[in-house]
Amino acid sequence: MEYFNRFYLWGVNTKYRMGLYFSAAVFFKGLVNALLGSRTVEILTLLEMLLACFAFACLETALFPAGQNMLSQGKRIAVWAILANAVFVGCAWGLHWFPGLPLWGGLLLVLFLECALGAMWYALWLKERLDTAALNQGLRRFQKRA
Amino acid sequence: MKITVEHMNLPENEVILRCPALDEEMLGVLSLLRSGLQRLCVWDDSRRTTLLTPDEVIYCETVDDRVFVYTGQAMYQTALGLGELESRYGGLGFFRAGKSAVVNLHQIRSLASREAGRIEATLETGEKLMVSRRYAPLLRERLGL
Repeated sequence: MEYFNRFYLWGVNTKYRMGLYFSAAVFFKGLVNALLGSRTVEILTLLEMLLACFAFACLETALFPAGQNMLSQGKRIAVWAILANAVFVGCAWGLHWFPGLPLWGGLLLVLFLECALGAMWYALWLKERLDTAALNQGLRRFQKRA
Repeated sequence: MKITVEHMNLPENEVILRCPALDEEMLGVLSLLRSGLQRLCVWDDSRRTTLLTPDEVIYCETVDDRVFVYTGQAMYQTALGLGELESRYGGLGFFRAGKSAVVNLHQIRSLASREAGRIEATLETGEKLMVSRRYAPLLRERLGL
């Protein structure tokens, strides 16, 4: 039962991450297709995206198990960024997720990916910073009151 | 606040607080009295017993079923469990930071938010203590957040 519970919690955590990446991938696929004049997305491409997102979510969960301080682990962050590029850029290029997209469009998508990865870490950093400020404010109030 | 000292023949010293309600000022007086009265009995390696005031304590932790009390200068042992320390000195700032630690909130220099809802406390001695995920919400509540 203990093993099952651990596996279940791992699944919930991974599923959440996979959903996040998959929605971003589908959004960009839909946007590119719309800009190229197509109104459909192939089911096979969606499945490929889902599997790629699942693979990356698994790697991410392995790199950053729940409860670890992600911001303090520079080497792991570097590995995570390299893996994100390898999985998403590699799959998009190798599996032809964006057929008919000019080179500059592809480069723009890569730039979006890098910005999104940076934004994720910035959001975590910002959240921690604001929470830390609130905690210290509360602590000073408590110490002053007593 | 009016302060009156009466000299009379009594078997022991007595303090009576008179007030319409327990306001901040009276709670402060009570806390001061308790910190003076509720001394913590500890002993060091050479079995020398000392009475510590709660504000001298930085943190307490259990190691191998023994409870150690750390002040800025020394380390002692006490017969009280962490639960007893928390309940007895909770009003004076003692807070359960984890399964094996109780920290004095007045001896924390700074706090830092950490991943998964944990909180890292930097003590006045420079030591770092992690408030576990389970106790972090209680700390936030205690700090009025």
